[in-house]
Amino acid sequence: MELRPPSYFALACLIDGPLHGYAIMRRARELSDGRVRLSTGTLYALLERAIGEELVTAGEPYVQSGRQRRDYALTPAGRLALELETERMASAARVVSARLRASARAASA
Amino acid sequence: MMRSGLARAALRCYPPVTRRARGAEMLDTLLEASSDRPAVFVWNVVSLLAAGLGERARASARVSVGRTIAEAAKLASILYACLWLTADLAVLIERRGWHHAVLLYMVGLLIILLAWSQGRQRLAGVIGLACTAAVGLVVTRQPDLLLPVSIVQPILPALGYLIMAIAPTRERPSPGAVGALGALVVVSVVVPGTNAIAFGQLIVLATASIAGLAVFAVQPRLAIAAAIIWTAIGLGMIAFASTQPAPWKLLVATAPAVLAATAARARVIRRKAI
Repeated sequence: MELRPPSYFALACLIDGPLHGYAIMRRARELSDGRVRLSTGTLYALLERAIGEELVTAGEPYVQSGRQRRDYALTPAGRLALELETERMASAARVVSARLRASARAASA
Repeated sequence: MMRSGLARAALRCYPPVTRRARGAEMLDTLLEASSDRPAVFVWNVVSLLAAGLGERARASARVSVGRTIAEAAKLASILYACLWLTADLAVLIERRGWHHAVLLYMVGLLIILLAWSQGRQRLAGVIGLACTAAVGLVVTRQPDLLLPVSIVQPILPALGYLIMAIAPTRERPSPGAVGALGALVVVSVVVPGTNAIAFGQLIVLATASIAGLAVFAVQPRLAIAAAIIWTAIGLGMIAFASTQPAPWKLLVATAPAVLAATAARARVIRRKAI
């Protein structure tokens, strides 16, 4: 299963522990160096899908600073999906890097 | 305050079940994510609109095409009852002290609509079938009593009543939908200038058709129901085809095509959404 960047970074935000919706938005932006900016609609759509695929669990709602919140946590299946996707991207990057190096060597020779 | 209102309005694009489960949380997340930044707020609201409509489309796509058409047929029969209630009320206002049979028919239509609004589909279906049979009897015995209608016209809506009677669901229509339909019938009957038989019906059907087209991308049920009614009217016109003006004949020719196209489109939407 291939994870798109928004889903990948949203799941990656939960590696260190459960976070609520707004915290996931902020953390995903930090982790991706500002490349992934999750909107509210996108965030909840991907969380809904992740919950449906049992990659994430949703906690009970609570109120903090007058805001309605709910924490989302990564499941073992979610962690595995994240590991597989990371490995897939790393493998693709290794292949392309090797090709680029070979091409550069051929050009300089 | 205005931002909160706009965000709440955008949330209404989501199905009610999602709004109940996560609406407050999504609203607070949106407001927190876009505090003091109008552009970010607009971007978040637009994303909420798109995601909400997408979720509605996925929800309707989970229902099979056969089930969608069956539910649309039920809705068509309800729309048809509204059309005749509109017509009968308009006639009743014009000719006070009308025939008992028509009053009885109106009571039947009201029971159908009431039962449907309460999720009592089997009762609505049985009464609808009884009303259709009664209309059939009256039309064949006293063709001048009712409005100019062929016996062919109620056949398609009767299929909806039949489905209600044999395969009812406990699904209750939303209070908003019931209110809108009731208001539409009342407006079509009481607004000055609309108190003519066909014009009141046209207002109801045209409004339902426009609403059906507006929500077609996420829920094709209403559009199919409207197309069924147009087809039923078209079929009814076949009986009077020789005396009808050209637009009606065009309707006879195009209504089944519109029905087929909406059903095909519903299938495409389902395939794309899954």
